[in-house]
Amino acid sequence: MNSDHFADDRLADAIASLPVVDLDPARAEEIRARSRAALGRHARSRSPWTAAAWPAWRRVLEPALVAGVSAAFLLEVVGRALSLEGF
Amino acid sequence: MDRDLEIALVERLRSGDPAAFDAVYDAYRARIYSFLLRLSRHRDVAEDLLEETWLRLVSKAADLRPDTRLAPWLFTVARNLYWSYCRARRLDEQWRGSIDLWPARSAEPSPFDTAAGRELESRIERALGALPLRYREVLLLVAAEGLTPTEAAAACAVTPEALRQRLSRARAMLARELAAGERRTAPVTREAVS
Repeated sequence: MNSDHFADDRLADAIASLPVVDLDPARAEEIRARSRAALGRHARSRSPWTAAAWPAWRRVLEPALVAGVSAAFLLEVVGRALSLEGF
Repeated sequence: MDRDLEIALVERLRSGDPAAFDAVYDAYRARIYSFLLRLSRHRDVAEDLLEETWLRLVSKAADLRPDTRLAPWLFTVARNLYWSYCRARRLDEQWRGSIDLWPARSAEPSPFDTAAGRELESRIERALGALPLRYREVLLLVAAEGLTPTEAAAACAVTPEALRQRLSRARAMLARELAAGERRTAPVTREAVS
């Protein structure tokens, strides 16, 4: 069966001719506004600087930052220890 | 909707373009609403589910496949939302029946045509409303909304063969309902004429 099978049917024609009903214009605009706002939120949450790329940046930057601070702290400790020993 | 335009709109929707959303919304809003209204027979329910359908679209927009066909996608979501609503509310099909849901049409050819057309519409609406939901939905998807039987089968989560059988039964049931409706109204009409 395909759609033509039904298209030949007078009953189907009668159903197809039923009016398309639209909702109240104010309600239609309210739904549009809410949906557009949601679309904007979803688009922002998936933008390269937020959802996708930011974790990657964090994965690179955070360990580098921690390693840098740790190395500086270690160098400072070693430097002070050596200075106390008179080197 | 032209297929090339549809593909372009899907691509723009995937990137979050609000103008693309507006175009899709304007093209399908009334059709989805009519479908939900005829499924649920309640304006408030249809409006709420319509809103939820569009919110689903925007939440999934970025994940749409580039070759998505919007009409089957939207009708599938709307249909599934209504079934979920029914399950959540433990509704059965007691909601069937005729309710004056439809606003007046704007352009009518003549008073006689208006009366005849509305009479036919009214009978079909009543007969459709009397069908069990699973039969009503296939008639609406295929005959009213023009989905192919394959698309309708996917929307209803049944095999094409099962949909074929369901559609055939639905047509037979609708024909019986219409005939029964005629028998109920005929004596009244004769009385009114005499």
